Parts: sequence; C-alpha cells; structure tokens
Amino acid sequence: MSASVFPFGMGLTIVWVTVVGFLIARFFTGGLSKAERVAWSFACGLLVHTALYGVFLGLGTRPRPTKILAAEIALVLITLVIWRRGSSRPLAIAVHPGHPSVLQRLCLGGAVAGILLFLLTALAEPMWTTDYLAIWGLKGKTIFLAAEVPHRLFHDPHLFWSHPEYPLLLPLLFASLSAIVGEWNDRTLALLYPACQVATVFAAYGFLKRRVSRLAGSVAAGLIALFFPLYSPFNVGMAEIPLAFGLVLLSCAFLDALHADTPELRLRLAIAALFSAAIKREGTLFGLLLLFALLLFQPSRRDRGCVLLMSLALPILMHGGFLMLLRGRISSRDFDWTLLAPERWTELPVRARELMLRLVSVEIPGALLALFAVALFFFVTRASFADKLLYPLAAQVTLYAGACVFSAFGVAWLVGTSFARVTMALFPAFSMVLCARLEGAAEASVRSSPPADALPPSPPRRDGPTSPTSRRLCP
Amino acid sequence: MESSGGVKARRTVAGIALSLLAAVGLSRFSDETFVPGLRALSRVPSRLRAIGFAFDPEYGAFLFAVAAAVPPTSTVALEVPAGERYVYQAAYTLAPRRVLFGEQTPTEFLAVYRGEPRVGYRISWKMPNGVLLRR
Repeated sequence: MSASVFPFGMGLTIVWVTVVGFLIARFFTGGLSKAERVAWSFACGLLVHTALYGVFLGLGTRPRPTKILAAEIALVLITLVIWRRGSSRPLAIAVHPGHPSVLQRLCLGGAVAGILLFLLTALAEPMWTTDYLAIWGLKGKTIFLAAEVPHRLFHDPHLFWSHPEYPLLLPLLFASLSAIVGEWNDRTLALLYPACQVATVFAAYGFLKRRVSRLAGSVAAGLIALFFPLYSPFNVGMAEIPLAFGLVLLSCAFLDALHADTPELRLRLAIAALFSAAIKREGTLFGLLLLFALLLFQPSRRDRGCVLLMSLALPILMHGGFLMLLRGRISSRDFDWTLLAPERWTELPVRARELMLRLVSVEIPGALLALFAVALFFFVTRASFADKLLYPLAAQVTLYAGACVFSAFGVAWLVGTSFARVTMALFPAFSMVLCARLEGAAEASVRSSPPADALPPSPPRRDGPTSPTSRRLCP
Repeated sequence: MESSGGVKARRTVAGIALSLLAAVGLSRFSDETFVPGLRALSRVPSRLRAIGFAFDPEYGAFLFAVAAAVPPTSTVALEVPAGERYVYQAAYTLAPRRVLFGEQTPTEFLAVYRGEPRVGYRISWKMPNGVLLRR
C-alpha cells in the first residue's frame, strides 16, 4: 500500500481517540484482560470524542482540531487527578500460563488474515453503498461541513428517504473524526470499519480468554474476523459493523453481570448500552432484551440487581430523550403500524404467511449449512454460562422477522433487503456463545489454575453457580 | 462419567462443526465483492472518486462541477433521471447544500443533467452532459 493510499492521519486519530478512551476507561476496566481493555478503550474514546464534538456544535463554535484535542487533554487530566485520589485497587489482568497451542496459533493467524484482508478492501475505495450515501454519510458530511446539526436533516420533506428517525452516533463519528483530520474524505473514513472489526475481535477474545480459556478466545477471534458476510466491502459505510461491536461489548457486560455486581460492571453495561443504542435502533432493542434477561435470570437478586438494571435502562432512556429533544417526534416510514388497528387485523395472517414463505424458501435455505453446523456443535457440546445469551439473541432474530410483517413496502421487500444483513450483526455475539461451550476443551493448565486476579470483586452469593467458570468469577 | 474416547469424539465433531461454520463465512469471500476493491488499491486517488458512479460515470463529473460552482450554503434544484442512485449520489455529493429534486420550488440554482436550459434562468455554465442555471 502506498503512502497515498493508507490514511495515516485517520489512523493516528483513531489511535489518539483510543488512548484518550484508555485513560478514562481505567476507571471501569480493572480486572479485564488486556484485549478487552483495548476494546473498551476504543468504545469509550469514540463516545467521549463524539460527545465533545457535539458539545462544541451545541455551543455554536466550529469544532477545530486544536479545540477538540485541548478538551480531550483537559478531560484526561481531570480523570487522572480523580483516579489518583480515588483509586485504591491496582489494575489486575488475567494471566494464562503456558504458550499458545498450534490450534490457537492457527486461529489467531486466521484472525489476523481476516483483519488484514478487510483492512485492504475497506480502504481501497471511497464508501459507496446506498445506505452510506443516503443516510450515514449524507448526515455526517452535512454536519461536518455545516458545523452544525441542521434541523432539515430531520424535517426536510426532500430528505424523507434518509431515515431521519435513525440514531446519530455514526454520522457524528464520521464528522468528529473528520474534524481532527481537517477534511471530509470518504475513503480514509472507512478506516473506522476495520478498527471496529479489530475491537470486536479483541473484546470477544479477551472476554473468552478471561472467562473460559485462551483456546475459546482464539477460536472466537478466528470465527469473527473471517466472517466475511459481515466484514465485506458492501458493509463499509453501513451501521452493522459498529453495531456488531456494540452488541459484543453489551454481551460481555451482560454475561459478567449475571454473576457479579460492581460499580465498574454497571458502568460497562451503561457504556455498552449507550454505544449500541446510539449506533442503531437494533442496539436499543438488544439492550431492552438483555434487561428482560437480567430480570429473568436474577429473580433472587432484584434488590441489588435494581441498580444493575438501571445501568442498562438509563442510557437507553437518556439517549431516546436526547433525540426527542433534538429533533422532536419522528415516525418511521419503514413500518405501517396501522396494521395493529382491529379493522386491519385480517391482513396480518396473510402477511405472516408471506413472511414464512420467504423465510422457508429463501433465507433459511441460504443459511442451511451454517444452521446445520451450529446444530451439530450444540449437540456435541455441553451448556455453558454464556448460553443465557441465546435467549435475547433468539428473541432479537424473532423480532426482526416479526417486524417484517409490518413493513410499509411489502413483507418480501423488507425481508429481502434487511433481514439477513441485520441478523449478520449478531454473529460476533453469537460466536461468543459457541466458543464459551469449548470450556471442556480448555487446557488443563488453565482449568487447574484459574486467574484469580482477573475476578471483579463480588459480594457473597446466596445461590451462586457451581461451575468452575462461575467460581472463577465469584470467588 | 464419559470415557476419554467419547470426549475425544465429541471434541472432534465440535471442531468439524466450527470448521464448517468458518468455511461458510469464508465462502462469502468472493471475487465479486473483494477483488474489485483490491484492484482499486492501484488506482490514483483522483480516479477513485468516480467509483461510486459506475452506473453513469458522466453523472459524477456533472455533480462535481455543480459542487464546485454552487456555494455550500445555497440551495440547488436538480433535474436528474429517475432512480434512487441518482438522487442519493446527488444529495451526498452536493452536501451540505440543500438539494431539491425537480423544478417545482424556485431556487437560486437549477442544475439540469442531460437537459436543456429553462426560461427564467441564465446559464451559469454548460457542459456536454448538463447545464447549471442561475436565476
């Protein structure tokens, strides 16, 4: 790759944002593995960077690079002072003795190959996909060049097709990263997508390495990075790749929250919920489903769990409230909710039949081999702590399919254009469920010497789980 | 208690299942999606701008010329062929300008792609595939 092709400016900006995120994320990533901490730092850095950019826009001043960088340095200095005063516990990381096996090296090599290939193809062209031009890129470019969030983005009848009801984190990310580089460049901005892929791989690898084994983490890293239906040039410029990252963070925090309740964990839940909800409405849905799952799986912990639930619910509610304040109520043109009126109920069975026909004749046959592999894997492996994630994941896919019944442009159209694409974004989180089942295949050394330092402190449990993994998390 | 042979067999089948799943993901690495992108690496940046206009390369040149001539704070009306790609590319390429499609609303600028000048406007510039008019 020549110097003119690789976006060094954007690369440095993303590294800088991650460093800022790292210095702030130290408050709530103690006890996590190094890979996880990088992933959380990236998410935290993106949120902080975008929030500061938004503050400058709100103040009516053009967010120049010097202003944003100065604000970030000031924020980091403040957090350093607070951290020095408030920190009583040194950061601990998981320690896995021994060297990686050949299989682990193979999986990690595959992950590196997948990341490099996606990096090359993502940076090769300017982003051009329909959703990028019509939704995410259009809003981001308008915000960056106008140095404001124009009201017409939400209420201009000539932009009715640009989904004014969608969340704004992705356009604001495009604009805020461009503000540091000083230009709008739809090719260099694409670097955000490989960065999200790397962060997703790091989050899943680090989480599984800490909670299960290095092997499970390596396999998940390979599976995720080589999942080309998601990490394809077609998805560069869309919201699915950042959403997949948010969903993996949310899943990690959720699985930890099933066995522990610490202030750090609550903060991680809140940050992941905010990130996911602000990227796409599917992130809000997943956050709400996890909230129900927490209620379902922690019936005896409702007293303490209330705070945990609020850390999921509050960011989602606050994000919704912020959007409402910014742009008022906007209805989605994709769905025809008048179908819920009693006089139109007769149409629902017809639409449901059309949905089933489309799923059975097109979508399921297209994924038959993958479904067979998953079924076979579940048949020969034992249940793990991460299986509890299956319920919200299955509910999410079911709701995706169910929502197609209410499509304003026809059931077949919405299933054909969206169902497979939005479902793909769940794969990295789902692959964590799969690889957590590799616990039985973990190295004996890891099983016999659980990394006690990696455990977040947890209050004594009345009804604690008894598996080795759970003991590892809740000493 | 399961025998060690049983455990080994389960692990082997689990490995095969995961390999199959990985193969499904890898199978989507196709020439159609990745190779054109890799080829684009060798192109000079100035030619990369035209990639999103493969459906009508002349349209790209037209929009870039309009963007160069119309101030960013202006509103421009566009007359372009029907089709979402024409509409989306115009709105994106001309952002942050407000773009109206069709001549129904009087605006300072009217850009007509593959069309003739209109009465009531003066020609700002003319190129083989279009014209930019100004009131």
